[in-house]
This record gives sequence, C-alpha cells and structure tokens, in this order.
Amino acid sequence: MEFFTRHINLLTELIKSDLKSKYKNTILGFLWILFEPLFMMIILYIVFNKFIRFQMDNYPMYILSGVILWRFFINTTSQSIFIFYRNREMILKVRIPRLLLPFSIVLSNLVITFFEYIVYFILFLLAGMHLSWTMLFFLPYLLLFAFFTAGVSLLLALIYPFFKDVKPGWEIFSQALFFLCPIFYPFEIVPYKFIHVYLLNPVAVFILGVHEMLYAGVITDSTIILNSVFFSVIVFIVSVLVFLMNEEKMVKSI
Amino acid sequence: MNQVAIVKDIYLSYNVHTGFFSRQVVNAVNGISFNLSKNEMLSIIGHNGSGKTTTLSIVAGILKPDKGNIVVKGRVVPFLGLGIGFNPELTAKENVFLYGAIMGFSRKHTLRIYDSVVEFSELKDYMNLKIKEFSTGMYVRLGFSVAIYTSPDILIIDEVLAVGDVRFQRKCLETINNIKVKGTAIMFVSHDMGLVSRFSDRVILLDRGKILKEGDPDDVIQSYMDMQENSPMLQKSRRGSGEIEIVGIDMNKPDRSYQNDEEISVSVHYKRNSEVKDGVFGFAVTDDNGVVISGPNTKDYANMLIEFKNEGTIEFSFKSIALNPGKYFITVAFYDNTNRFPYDHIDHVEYFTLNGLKRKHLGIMKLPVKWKVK
Repeated sequence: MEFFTRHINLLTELIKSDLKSKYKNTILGFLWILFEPLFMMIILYIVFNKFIRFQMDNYPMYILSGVILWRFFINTTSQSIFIFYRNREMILKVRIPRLLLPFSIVLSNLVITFFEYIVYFILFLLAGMHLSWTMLFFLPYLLLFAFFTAGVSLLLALIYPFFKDVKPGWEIFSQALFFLCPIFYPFEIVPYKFIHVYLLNPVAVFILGVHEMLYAGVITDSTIILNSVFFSVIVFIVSVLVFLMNEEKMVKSI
Repeated sequence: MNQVAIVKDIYLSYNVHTGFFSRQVVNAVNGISFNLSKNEMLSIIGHNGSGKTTTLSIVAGILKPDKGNIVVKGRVVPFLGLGIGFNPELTAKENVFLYGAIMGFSRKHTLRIYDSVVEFSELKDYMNLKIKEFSTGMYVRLGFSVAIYTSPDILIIDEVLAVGDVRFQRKCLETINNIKVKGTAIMFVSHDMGLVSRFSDRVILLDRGKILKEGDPDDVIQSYMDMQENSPMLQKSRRGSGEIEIVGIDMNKPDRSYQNDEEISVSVHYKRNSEVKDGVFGFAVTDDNGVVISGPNTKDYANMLIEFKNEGTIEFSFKSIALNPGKYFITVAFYDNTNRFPYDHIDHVEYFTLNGLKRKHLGIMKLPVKWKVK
C-alpha cells in the first residue's frame, strides 16, 4: 500500500511539474487550457460556416469534438517520444519506476483535454444542441483512449533511444493518420469498399465513437466500442510487456 | 553481522555502438564482490572508466547486473548527480517536493522534513526562486539537503560534493559522518584522496571492472598512487618563440623515485637557434592535480641572467623537504631577459615520485611542526 501511495505521489508531482512548466511562464497561465479550444472554435466557425459549408448541422462542433481528441493523441505521443531520452540523467541516477515518465505525460495531457471538453460542452449548449444521456459514456471512453495513447507513447519512448529515426518517422506517419481520421470530413464520404481498411486505424475508430457520444448523441455502435476496447487493451498490454522486456537494454544504451 | 548490502560476483557490460552496425562490448564491471555493513563508509577509488559509477548504480538498484547476486537491505538513497530530476522552470520549493517524490516519499513526509531541509541548505531566502536561476553550488546544496534528510539505510554519493563551497562541503561531510554513526552505511566515490583517507573505514580500488585491492584506506590509496605513476595524467605542452630550444633533460635517478631528504637533480640541455645574448631559466614543480608547488627562476631567486652559448646545459637541484607522497611533474622554461616572453617552455616534461612519508597528510606537505603542550 505504501508502495502504491508513493508512486501516486510521484505521478502527481510529475504531472504538476509538467503542467506548471507548460503554463507557468505565460501571462494567461492555466487559462490557456480554456482559450485554446475557444480560439480554435472561432476559426472553425468562420471557416466552416462562412467559407465552406457541409450539409450538416453545427459542423464546427462536429470538428471540434474530434479535433480535441486528436490533439490529445498527437500532443501526448510527440511529447512522450523523447521522455526517456531527455530524462536519461534521471533514469541513470535515481531509481524510479520509469513507466511513470510517459504515463505522467499522458495524464497531464488528459487533464488539459478534460478542460478542453468542458469548453466544448459550454459551446455545445450555446449552440443550442441537445444534451443526451449517451454523453455519460464519454468519460470512461476518454479514459480508454488514454490507455491506448499511453501504450503508443510508451512504445515510441522506448524505441527512441535506440533509433532516433522514430521521431521523423512518427511525424510523417501521424500526419497520414490524421487524414485517415474522420475529423474534418464526415465518415459517410469514405467509400464503402475501403471501410474495413479505414477502420483498422484505431484513432479513427475512437473518433467515430466520440462523434456518436458527443455530437450525434446516439447510442454508440457496439462494434465501435468493442473495437476501441480491443485496440486499447492489446496496445497497452503489449507495449508494457515489450517495455518490461527491454527496459534494462534501454537504460544501458540511453 | 550488520550487513546491509552483499554483492556477489557481479558482471555488467555495455554495448557501445561505434558505427551503424558495429558495436563494441565494454565490460564495465567484471566480477566484483564485497559487503557493506551498518556504520561503515566504504569508498571506491580508481581511474575514470574503472567501473566505480557502474558499481554504485548497481548497488542503488538503478542498473541490474548481467550476472551475479546482490542483496540490499533497507532504503537506498543514491546521490549521483547534480539536481537530478529538478525541473528548472519550477521554484526551489516546488522542486523539493518533486525531488522528494522522486526519492520515493509521500507528500506528507516531504512536508515534514521540508523546514529542516531548507535550514540545512541555507537557501531560505531563495526558495521561491526558479531553480534555473540557481548556481551549480546551490543545486548541490538543495539536492544534498533533501538526500541527507531521507534517513537512508544506505547513502550512495558519487563525486558530487566536489562542487559547492568548501564550508558547505565540510558541513555535508560532518553530517555524513553523523548519520554514519547513527547506523547508515555509506558508499562514496571521489578523486579527492584526502577526503577518502580521512572519512573512509574501508577502500576498494577498482581497475577495469575488477577489485585490485581492498582494505585499509591508506594502504589502498598508496597502491592507487603507485598505479598512477605508470600513467601520467598531466599533458605535456610546449610553447615559445624558439630562439633557445630545449633538446634534452636528464634526472640524477633514472627510476625518478626519491625519498624526502634526497636531492633531486635535473640537467636541461639546450641549443641556440638564433642570436640571443641572455635570458632567464626557470622551472616549476607541480602535483598530479596540476597545482604548482613552487616555480623558481634564475632572475627572481639569484638575480642571475644566463649567458647563452650555442649549446649548453643548466643543472639545478632541490630537496622536496616534506611534500606528501605522490607523483610530481617538472616544467622547464627559458625566457627572455625581461622574463616575459618564452623562448621555449615545456609543461610537465618530467616527473618524479616521492615515497618518503608513510601517509598522505592533509594539504600538500607535512609541515615541520614543534608541539608544546602546557
């Protein structure tokens, strides 16, 4: 038990330290967490309400619900990729559970994402959209996505000390991934014959789920939920196992 | 016995990539065994790359040995580097809590020791300052203050105390000694043989990942000194305009090993390359850290200018009086008659070793003292 509380304390301190160093030197401070989605919304509103119009109600809200999730994914993974390498001093000179380093990045981004979704809700109500009980599923769903993201982040962070190529590689790959997610376009425009391939992208699956919960307010398709759980559990467990098997090697070559 | 760590035949090697596909295996630790008891300070000495830090890291649980066994009882607190885990963007106060968490404390515990830590570090007025504004000395203070209040069963210290001012360093060493008396076992790595000799109960000398010698501090330090004689540490370097050129140097004892009252005599042969009339000759004796012990020259010592010939020899001799045992280097130089511009100046061109005194005394020498107790 004491072991557990100590790790929780380390994790909270790491999250605090990460959040503080992100926002502390700015004039607006933590308000940035609220402003970022707000500004994004204004832009989206101008672009997709005035310039480009899709046949969809509240199209900017549709985008925002997905974009926040994508930002969580891309920010977390791109910050985690260096985490072991950047903290190699710490890894080599104090004894800490090294898994907690990428996980603290996941959690601090999760905190930011949580607040961004609160802004989303406020805008949601202001747009005159109707709340639905399906939204209750969103929080556990976000947590599930955090597990998936943690798995990917841990794996990237583990590979980086061995192969620095993983960083530019991941940048290109994640860009492709972005366009393969229904963020700026409706899922319906994906041609039917490609749908199975398209749904192999876990992030796309999660974004579909978020759309259904937060935008459409319908009961989420059970295949989407099952696929999300499957992706999260597999990715998380596999990457933790791979990490544990290669931890010593990584520490030595860092 | 009160053993807190038992290390048995450990091995650890690194793969160092020398190219994309080529790698080299470095055996950092090559079958080391030792025990560590309560109330004991065990120091590890040896050249750079002899496996000292790796050994400490293994005892600290940071690295796992490839082979061998290690049993550690109780809390190990490693203090292996400056400000490890500190976040430069946070204040000193916030960093204490972060560091506490890294050391494995609950927030409550850190809160409990916070005041004592601040007091010990003597940084009370700076606790709300961002730590990136801190000097390295302040980093050490803060880090060490937290580490010392963690009440570890084993405290592991690697060289870090070298930074920071001497007064604070002494305070740290006193505190280390106090917690040692109270039961903490301490492992210590330092290149400062004076510190090692004064504080250690036992010393291990490592060479290429193996224990070369273990036991009484002064004995082991002596062996380390003897080892160094075969591998000079100070770099020879040469400068000057070249009108006078040093062509050879002889010492009166070919093995360069002297007792304290023995006369050390050196002959310096030179040749003249272009027309210069006179100049100054000087030499300096340096210890193995590069500290100049003395630097006599013919002008200051004897108000004498050397009349140069086309080829000639300067001979000088001196006694080392009561310098500590160890390795010393000799620098020789010819300067112009104003003693400002070098014709030929060669740093650390020769060396000699002193074996006279049994042990190394604090400082650089044994002062001839008369004691009177009334």
